[in-house]
This record gives sequence, structure tokens and C-alpha cells, in this order.
Amino acid sequence: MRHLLTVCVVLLLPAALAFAQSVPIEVLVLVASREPATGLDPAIHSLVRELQRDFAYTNYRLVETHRGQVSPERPWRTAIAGGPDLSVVLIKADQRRVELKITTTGVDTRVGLSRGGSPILLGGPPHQGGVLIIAISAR
Amino acid sequence: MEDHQLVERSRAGDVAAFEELVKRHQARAYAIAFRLLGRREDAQEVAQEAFSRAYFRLAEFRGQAQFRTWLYRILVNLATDFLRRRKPEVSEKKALFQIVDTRGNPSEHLYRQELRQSIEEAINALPADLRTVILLREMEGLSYADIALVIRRPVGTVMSRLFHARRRLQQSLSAYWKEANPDG
Amino acid sequence: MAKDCRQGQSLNAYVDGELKTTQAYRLEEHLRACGECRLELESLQKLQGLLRQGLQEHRVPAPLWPGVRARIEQGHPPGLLTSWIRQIWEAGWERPRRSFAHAVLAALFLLSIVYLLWESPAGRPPAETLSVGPGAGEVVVEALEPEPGFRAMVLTTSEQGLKVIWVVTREDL
Repeated sequence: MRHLLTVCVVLLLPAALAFAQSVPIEVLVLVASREPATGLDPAIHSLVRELQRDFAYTNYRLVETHRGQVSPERPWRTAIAGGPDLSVVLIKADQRRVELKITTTGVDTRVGLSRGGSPILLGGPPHQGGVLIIAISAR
Repeated sequence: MEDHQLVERSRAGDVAAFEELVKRHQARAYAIAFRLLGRREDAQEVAQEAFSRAYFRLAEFRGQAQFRTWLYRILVNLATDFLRRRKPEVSEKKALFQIVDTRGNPSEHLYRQELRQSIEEAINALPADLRTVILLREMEGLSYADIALVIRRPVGTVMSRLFHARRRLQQSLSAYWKEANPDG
Repeated sequence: MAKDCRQGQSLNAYVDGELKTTQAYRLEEHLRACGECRLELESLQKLQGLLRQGLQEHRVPAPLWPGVRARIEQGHPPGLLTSWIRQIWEAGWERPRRSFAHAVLAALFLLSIVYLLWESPAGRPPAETLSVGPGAGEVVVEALEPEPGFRAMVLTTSEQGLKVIWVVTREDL
């Protein structure tokens, strides 16, 4: 009987963990400006290439990287580039997608993201002669 | 080939000729339908229905007006009916979700986009009869006489509706007055 | 705005080029004397400019002819049939594109397998942890509330590119 119980727990544990509502997120903070281009950090290479399709900024710098865990009970909070606060709350998650509530200066939004997929970008707050662009993605 | 020649051919049973008419006028017909109805699927459906009805009523078209005007008449009639029957949609802040292609500084384009949005909202806020005449006038450049044909009312009604539509638009868009004219 | 001078409709007609020559002359004479009407005329012209600037084109999402033809062939199709026909029409429209896309994907898949077989498995570590571009998972903005004094818009960098929520304060506009 004990063995059976152990087996059950062992089998159910991963499932329980899978349903544990805590999702890792990554936040990249970029500053985009019209300054002349400098070397591009490889960590944001394809992100910037995509932005360059439509934004005329000439210089993109990665200034901060944040990693954290979000869950429904605990909003994840950080200050961005010494300025605005950013808060992320997990609304729901399954194996493939998450729904996040993101709040920062000027905006409150709810987005659906693919885990390990494209980030959502928030941009616009002026910062040191350029603008901040914040990329939030979920694992 | 001129429209009226295509109409003659279509009347004689030449479907390819009618197809050409559809191709020529679909963009504008869709544009009006979309502005009147606000939804893509509805605009497509009503525009297609208008063309097919025009086809079945070709015998009535005596060339007294342009094909385009006659088509719009059918279209506006259908759209008005459609609007009456359609359940009012919960007005979400759809404007905020408008996806825009930007080139260059987003803030500059945001001003233009905001202007466009305000104009769209102002037009959408007009009652359907006023909205129709202002669209036919500003978007299609139809003469008063043609507008009268399309909405099936006398020219006096057209003038009165245009007058009231513009009054309301002037009020809703007054914020842009100062910017359009810095010296007040 | 001119409220007392009752030339309102004439001014509209004048701006629209709908006044006959003699009427236009008479109005122009009146305008020389009436400041209110001049202001109103200017206002109407400004409005026209704004409307022309603002009324965007909404392009037809797909050619209308197939739907029109279906309706013509049906006579006057009743509601249910319309949607049924539309579904078939849309499927016919989709298929050519989908099979081409499949061919491209299959080719890419084969190419990547060949590449992997030839290259050593200890390849470059990924320089970037972000996925970007088509197939990288759809980003959906479910709700968006700008704070008072701010304006927020959802932009996209290209057809299936990155979604960007752009926030500006009213002073930036």
C-alpha cells in the first residue's frame, strides 16, 4: 500500500508541478535612439532587425535584462532603467500559452503569449535622448 | 471599354463583362459599405449582394445615371436595411487596437493616426443618414444630384443633411482646429 | 461659427462647387461684407481638408467576384446557403496558398535536416533566447487601458512581426 502511495505521488508530482502556476519570464530593456549605430548586442539581434523594418531609430542598446517568476498571487515588480516601474502578474497559464497582466507608466494591458515564443513589446517612454523599448517573453 | 458598354454586354448575357464591372467598382463599393457598416465581413457580404442585385436588375438601368451611382443606390439601400436589422455591437475600444504600419518616429505617426482615428470616430458617431451623405460627398465626390439619386431623396434633403453633418463634425473635431490653424 | 447669418447651406454648396455661377457671384459679394461668413467658409474648407486627410482607404480583403458569381448562379440565395457557399469559396481561395506554403515548409525542413547531418552537432550556442518572426507564437493583446494623459496604440512591425504597444503622453503628440 505504501509503495502504491509513493508511486502515485511520484507520478502525480510532475503533473502537480506542471500545474503549479508560476512561469519564468524574461524582460529585456532596450534604448532606441537616433544616434549613430554602435555594435549590436547579439542577444537582441533578430529583435532589432525586426524593429528596423518599421522604426527609423538608428541605434538600439540593450541596457538591462531581468529574469523572474510570475504567479497569480505574486506580481513580479522591478524598476526599469532607473525610471518607471514595471509589474507583471500571471493571469493564467497552460503548457503552451500564458496570459499576463502588465502595468507600467501610462499603460495597463493584458496579453497572451506563447511560451518560448515571441515577446510583447512596450515602447515609448523617453529615456536619455531616446525611447525605452521593453520586451517581455515567457518560457 | 466604358461602363455603359459593359452594362450592355452584361444585359445581353456576357458574364465576363459583368465580372469586369465588379472588378472596376469593388474597391469603392467595399469602401462605402465598410464605412457604413464598420465590419469587414458585413461590408463584403453587402457589397457582393449589391452587385448581384445590380446584375438581376440590369434591365432597369437605362443609363440615366452612371453605373456607379446606380450601384451605390442599391448598396446604400442594402446597407441601411442591414444596419437596421443588425444587433448593435458592444462598442469596444477598437480604435486602440488598430494595427498600424509605422515608418520613422512613432510619435509623429501617432499624431496622424490619432487624427485619423478622431475623424473616423466623429464620422461613426453621426447618425446613419448624415453619415451616408458626408461619405458620398467627401469620399466619393458625388454631386448633390447623384447623392440625391443614391439616397432616394430630393436635393434639398441632401443639402440639409450635409449641412447638419458638417456642423456636428466641426464640433467633434474642433480640437484639431487650432492645430490646423495655429494663428487661431 | 456663423449662427446669425443664414447663409449656412449656400456656403456648403459653394464649398462643394454646387452653386450656379450667378449664385456664386452673389455669395462672393456677400462674403466681402460678412466676416462671420468668411470665417465659416474657412472652417468648412478646413473640415474638408481634414476629412480628405483622414478618410483612409480600406482595401477589399479579397476579390468580390466569386461571391457575386455564386449569388448570381443561385438566384437570390437565402441566408444559410450564403454562408455555406462562402465557406466553400473561402476554402477554394485558401487551398492554393496553403499548398504552396506546405511545399516551401517541406523544402525548408529537408534542407535543415541535410544541414544538420552535415554540420557537427556541437554547433554555435544560440546567441539569443528570444523568438522572433512568423511561427514564433502569436502575441494577442487582450486588453489595453492607457492611463489618463496617455495614449496607447498597438503597432506591428510587419505582417507577422512583433507586436509593440506604444505609449505616448499627450505632450509628445
